[in-house]
Amino acid sequence: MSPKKIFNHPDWEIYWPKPVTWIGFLVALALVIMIMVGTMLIARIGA
Amino acid sequence: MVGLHYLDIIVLAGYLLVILGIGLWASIKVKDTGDFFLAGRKLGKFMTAMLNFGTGTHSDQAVGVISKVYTVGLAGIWYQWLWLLKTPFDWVMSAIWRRLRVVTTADYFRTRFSLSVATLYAFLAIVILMQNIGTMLLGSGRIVEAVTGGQIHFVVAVLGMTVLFVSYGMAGGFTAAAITDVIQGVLTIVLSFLILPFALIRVGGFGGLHDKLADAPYDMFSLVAPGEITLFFIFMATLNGIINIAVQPHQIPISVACKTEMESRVGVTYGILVKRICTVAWAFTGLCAIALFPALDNPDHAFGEIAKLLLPAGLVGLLLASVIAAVQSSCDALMVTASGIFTRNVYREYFGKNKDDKHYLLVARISSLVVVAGALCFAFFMKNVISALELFWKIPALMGIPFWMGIVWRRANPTSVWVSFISATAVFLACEMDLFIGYAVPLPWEMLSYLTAGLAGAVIAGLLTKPQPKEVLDRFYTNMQNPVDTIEHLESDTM
Repeated sequence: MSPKKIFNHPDWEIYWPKPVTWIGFLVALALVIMIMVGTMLIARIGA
Repeated sequence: MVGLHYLDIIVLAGYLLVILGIGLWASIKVKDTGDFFLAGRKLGKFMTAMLNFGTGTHSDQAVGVISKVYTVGLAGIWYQWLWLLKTPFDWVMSAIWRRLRVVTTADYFRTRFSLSVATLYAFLAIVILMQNIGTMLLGSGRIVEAVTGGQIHFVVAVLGMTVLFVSYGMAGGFTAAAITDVIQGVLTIVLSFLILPFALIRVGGFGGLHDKLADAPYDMFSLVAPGEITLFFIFMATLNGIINIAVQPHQIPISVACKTEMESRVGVTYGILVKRICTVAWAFTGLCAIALFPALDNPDHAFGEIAKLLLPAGLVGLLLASVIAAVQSSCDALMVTASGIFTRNVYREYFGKNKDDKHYLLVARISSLVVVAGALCFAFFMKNVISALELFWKIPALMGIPFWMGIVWRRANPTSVWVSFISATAVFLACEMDLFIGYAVPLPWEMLSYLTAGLAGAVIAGLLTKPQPKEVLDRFYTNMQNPVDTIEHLESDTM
């Protein structure tokens, strides 16, 4: 089965990502958010 | 001796002996251009992660972050974290880069667009790589100068490190770079966190640090700094980073050098995530530097000064070994990438078609020297590490819009690439030279301006001119839907 396009237009070639792409992206995003929140929490130690 | 304790010199000499052995071993392994440029496509997850971490992590970045944090507070962390919000996209992009079925980014511009576009990119990429190597040498030279109390002059430090990485990289190519990246990756992680406890103890812990910075005009512990590092700055720097990273010349070779697509995804994404964590340690070290040295003339010296003050004998030698390892692994990987682009996309296309592989290997090694000469010019003539880093964000992004348009839009063609690049470059130069009625355009507005100009140029030219032949586009977009299999790349690695 061919992947589904996000924009149904002959000039655009953007497809809905496969599950492996979604999951990997969201896991990496969660880790990025954890790093940012962790940094803000460390910055508040001793304030 | 040269401003160092004898224990530091022993540690440094030990490191140099180990690295010499690895370089000799790797040089025996290099038999053809496939080994030289792609490490024979044998890299697994761990080696890819360390290669991506090592190639993307340099001592100049620690110098840059600490220098900026010293100037504006914790918000200076965005001088490396501009890539942080981009990191999840690495999971997607590393698969795209492999599916392009090319060895260098210039090959992509050749297969998707035309020879003229590939040549344009090849020259821009070589400039980017020269500037990147030059920035690393500049930052590392400043550390060596500061740590030795000026007894090793900046120029001597830069030239010494250059001799080391050139001889190493020319012998061992990408294999040597990958191995040194593992060593320097471990050293960088250790040292990123090693200075911080010493610094925190010296300033009286986090409580003492807050007390010492309490008189600052604004909250030095905030992730935004009024008037300079705003939410708009962070948004634009992140967007610019996603566009910029696609055309960073070392990215495709790293993804392509992996055994499988999953190893590429994991290695590229998580190798760089480790760096984001090291960046946190650099930023807090920068805050300690404000408390310890409130009136440094040159903020670029903050890292070296704090290391000299706090690290015991032996660990300063380890720090210098780490700095040299970072220069070696990053600079030789970038030098090999630049010589690969020149050899494949300029020399082979215009001067030497159908030569044997040994001939191309010789050209690659000679062109490496030219790249290094250009990098030295950057190292000696750039004002400081911060301005060098900012330039490094902007130049690749000028070709970033055409890169992405080629991936997602069938109407993108060679004319649209040229129009996009010329439009973006014209706006970039106008901003750099303060041509907008003498107004110095702030960094995020400059990014928004040249990216908008590049996008508008690409869309208008793409709509007004004919697209590439349908069969070429069909083949390209079919490839993009399918991962690379092992049989394909065995046939295409060598020149």
